Amino acid sequence: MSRRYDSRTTIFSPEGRLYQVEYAMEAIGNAGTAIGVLAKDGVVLVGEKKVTSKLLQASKSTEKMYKIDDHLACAVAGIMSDANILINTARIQAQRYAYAYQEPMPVEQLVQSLCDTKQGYTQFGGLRPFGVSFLFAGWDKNFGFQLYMSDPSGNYGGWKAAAIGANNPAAQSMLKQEYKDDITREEAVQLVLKVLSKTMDSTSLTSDKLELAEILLAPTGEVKYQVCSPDSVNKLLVKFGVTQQTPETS
Amino acid sequence: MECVFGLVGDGFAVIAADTSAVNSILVHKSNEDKIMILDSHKLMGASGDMVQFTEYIQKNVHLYQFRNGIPLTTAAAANFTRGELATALRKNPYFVNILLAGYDKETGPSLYYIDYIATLHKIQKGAFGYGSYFCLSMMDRHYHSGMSVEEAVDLIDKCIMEIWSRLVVAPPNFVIKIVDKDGAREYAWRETIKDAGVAAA
Repeated sequence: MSRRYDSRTTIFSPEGRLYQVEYAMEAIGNAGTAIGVLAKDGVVLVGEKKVTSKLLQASKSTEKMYKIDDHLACAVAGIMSDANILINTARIQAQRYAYAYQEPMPVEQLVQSLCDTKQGYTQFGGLRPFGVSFLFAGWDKNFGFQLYMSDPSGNYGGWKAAAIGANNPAAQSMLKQEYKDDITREEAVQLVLKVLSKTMDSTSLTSDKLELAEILLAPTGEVKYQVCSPDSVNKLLVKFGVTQQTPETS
Repeated sequence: MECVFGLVGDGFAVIAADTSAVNSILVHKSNEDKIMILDSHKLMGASGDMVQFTEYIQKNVHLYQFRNGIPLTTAAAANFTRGELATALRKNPYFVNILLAGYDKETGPSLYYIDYIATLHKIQKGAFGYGSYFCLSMMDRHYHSGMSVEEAVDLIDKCIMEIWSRLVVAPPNFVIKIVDKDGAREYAWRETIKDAGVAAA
């Protein structure tokens, strides 16, 4: 490993790798898991909260889930302060589009635009990349419900189900086994809770350790982004029987 | 002065524009096409200093489609156009008046009025120029929603007749273009003067 090529963010190593980008992904591997599943009538996002002290002021703000625009939300994994910058950038880009075209920004275009920003930090400027991965969930009239995953390199892909953060390989393989193409939103909620409970490190799963959000279409045709209240999360955990972490580990 | 007018019918929108290019008392040419085809399902009829601006809009509409794999809706294109006029307005304004017609699969035909100070209105019928005095009155009298292509072109012809008979310096030729589910295309010309061809050297 050529250490002398580490410190400059924007140069290749002799093996053709960008070490700073890879180190950024390492940092994300220590962060709380986030899982997203695309259903035919919505998108479900769940995130594992790392900060669970009783002293923490539970307010309207969330740790893992953020609304970018009325029709678009994201889950983050990685360095929170980096995430805040990018979320703000994404919000500005979404509004700039809406100002120019008087229409909501198509989901893929927002993801692409944000990823172009992230890519810049891997090629010029001498600044380190952002240590955040995102799961974007949204709806637009061109392609309906969509789920995208993006990483510090600025790469992104459209997914039916994806996981980022700690234990994401395990979560991803579990999703691959259990995901069905015609999954409903309710089944998707069950799936993410089940997968999260199996990949989380903590011994028991309670509502204060996770955040659950959904993108769905209301009967009026409006796109809604809903964060589940702790009470409803608890009810769901009981309903799907995932309050205790199962003894077997994958 | 340049006449551009248009209306929305049953599953289509149509724009007519005069085709004279005039400088003071001189008519440079009488077959200048002032209705630009923005993309497969959009028309932009412009009066005034049009070429620079309409080409700019056309290329941006194309760029959006290349970048994103999907076309702009007529409403989005109209708002984008208005935004460009608005941005330039307090620095280096474009003196163009525009009627933008388009057909979208989900919402059908639509027509937008965009004037040179970046006013935007979605309309069923509209007109610019000295001809508008006559066209708007004719359309007020004869327009109804859901007109067929024949009825609409008949109304356009009535408007052109009014311009020819009542406007002191009436342009001799007009072009009519239509946009519907099958796309944007030229429909017809109405000519009283044919430009002579250039003799071979």
